[in-house]
Amino acid sequence: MNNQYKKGVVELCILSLLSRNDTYGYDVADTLTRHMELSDGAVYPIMRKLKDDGLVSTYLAEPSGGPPRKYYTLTQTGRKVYEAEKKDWLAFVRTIEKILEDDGHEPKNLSE
Amino acid sequence: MNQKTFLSDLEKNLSERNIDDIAGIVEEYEEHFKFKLADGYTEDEIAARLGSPQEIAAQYKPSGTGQPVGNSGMKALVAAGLSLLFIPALSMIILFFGWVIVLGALAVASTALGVLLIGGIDPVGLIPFIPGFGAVVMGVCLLGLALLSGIGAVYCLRYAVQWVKAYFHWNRRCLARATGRPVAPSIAAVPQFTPRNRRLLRLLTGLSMAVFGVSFILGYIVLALSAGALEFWHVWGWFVS
Repeated sequence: MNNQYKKGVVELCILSLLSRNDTYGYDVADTLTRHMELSDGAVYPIMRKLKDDGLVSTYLAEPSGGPPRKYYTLTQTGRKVYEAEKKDWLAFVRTIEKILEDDGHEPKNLSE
Repeated sequence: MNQKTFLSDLEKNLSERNIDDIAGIVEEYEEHFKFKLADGYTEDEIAARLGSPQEIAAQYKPSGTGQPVGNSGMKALVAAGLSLLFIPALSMIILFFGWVIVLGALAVASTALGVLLIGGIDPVGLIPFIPGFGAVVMGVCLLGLALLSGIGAVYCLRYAVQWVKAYFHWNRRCLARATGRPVAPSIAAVPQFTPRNRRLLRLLTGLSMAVFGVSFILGYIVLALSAGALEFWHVWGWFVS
């Protein structure tokens, strides 16, 4: 997948994962690198930037029977920004889809 | 590259670039190594997949950049300005809700008079002479007006509420920006209706306008014919004390 599309989207994906549940840095990085062509270390700096911008915050918690770990969570502002950017992104994607599908070069059906 | 070399290279590059909280950042990569080792990767593989420590460090922002000036002086200035702005804003709010009350009263009054005219009853004896059929038509006209102003009242109320919400949200955003805190996205200044409600409102508005317009014209013609004059209210002495 083209690098240019990825850059704007990784932040949105991180926010999306955190909107479902709090988790630690490695969990987010691992999930994203498994699904997208990302280098392993690309996610951590972006999460740090989200924290500096106040969209996510961290706290220490002890997962069952383990050492305390740093957990990430969405802040209230982060949640609002996520909802707004998610809406924008989905509308954007639908527009592009429509433009691309209307170019007259429909992918041929196997039966044709 | 093994884990120790990777992490110490990373630490060195981060401190060269004057990054905040280096220990926290390094800890995250340490954790990354721990998990990947548990999955069976070798330290060399893990380091290779992470990329060069120098390139990684380059993706972190040094402290002090990108942070807007968030001093208390700025915040005080913005707060003072916003407090001053509240006076005209309050007048706007009063105006909006005034409209809601006026339109609501118009809707109620039109309904009442419309019903009385259609029913042909005059409980308080205030309705002037108006022949039966013309009264019914004008009654219908007034009911159309009632629906129209009722919708207007509802819309104005939604508008007023949304405006107030957006205004105070905007205040909060200004203060957040002044103190360098994260700024929430702005909210709409006009009421947001669901597509179904929007269609319903449009339909009712069109309908009530049609009813009002048609029955007014029809009613006027009927009343003028009954009175035998264009200014039938003179003939029947409506505004004579």
